Amino acid sequence: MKAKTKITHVLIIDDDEFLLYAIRKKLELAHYKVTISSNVHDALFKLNMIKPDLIMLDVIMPDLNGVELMHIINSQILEQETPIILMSFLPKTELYKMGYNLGSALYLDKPFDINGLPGLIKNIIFKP
Amino acid sequence: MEKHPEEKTAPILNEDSNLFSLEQLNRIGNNDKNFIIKMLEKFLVSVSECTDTIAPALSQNDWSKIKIAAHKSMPSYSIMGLTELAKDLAYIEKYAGNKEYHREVFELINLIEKKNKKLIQDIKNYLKALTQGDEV
Repeated sequence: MKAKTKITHVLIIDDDEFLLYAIRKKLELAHYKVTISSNVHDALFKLNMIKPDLIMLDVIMPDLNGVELMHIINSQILEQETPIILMSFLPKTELYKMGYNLGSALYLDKPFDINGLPGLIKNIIFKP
Repeated sequence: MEKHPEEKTAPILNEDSNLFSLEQLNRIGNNDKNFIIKMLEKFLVSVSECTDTIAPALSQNDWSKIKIAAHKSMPSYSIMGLTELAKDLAYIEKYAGNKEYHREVFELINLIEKKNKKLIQDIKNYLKALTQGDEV
């Protein structure tokens, strides 16, 4: 009997709906389960109901900075460490200068090649 | 219009270089026509929001608002193959509010506004042809 493979669930949080839909389409075509959120409140609400395997998080958002949201998610919501990819036009060095602790989050400079995301996520989730 | 002061090789915005490309979107969506239609509709909203935010903010010297709007617009312009516009938005985000670059930023914003109007019309025409099943 063929073993059932667990589908990887990705939560994407970004106030740019164009980007949200583009990433969702690419990941769904690659057989990922995708949940999207265009604001922090919606993301926090959804995080009470789902346990994503990976979170993609925009840094610059209107209601709360993505790095701050990441710390809330890690310390108050998720019981186990979940890989987080931060996305921003701001260089990583700029965020360090602003005093942000990025922890173990991965960092993607915008604009990035959306077509490369399925492979990148696979490498993160299934790293040895 | 003069070239960007710090980017002498940067392309100058002109109203003829307004062509969008669906190459990236087709790769992302595996040539799904319905996805393209949905994304073009979303892009129209993004372009309108960009214009509707930046132009009034400029008249109020609200540089913070201009920077945020420029920042937010860049990814979608990039995906639509509008790399020159995305580059100019990045320039606006970086230099808006800096007195030294005020004239360049002001001119770029006015040009982007004009280009956005044409872009909206071009995409509406494209969408019309696409939804009517024409080869476009």
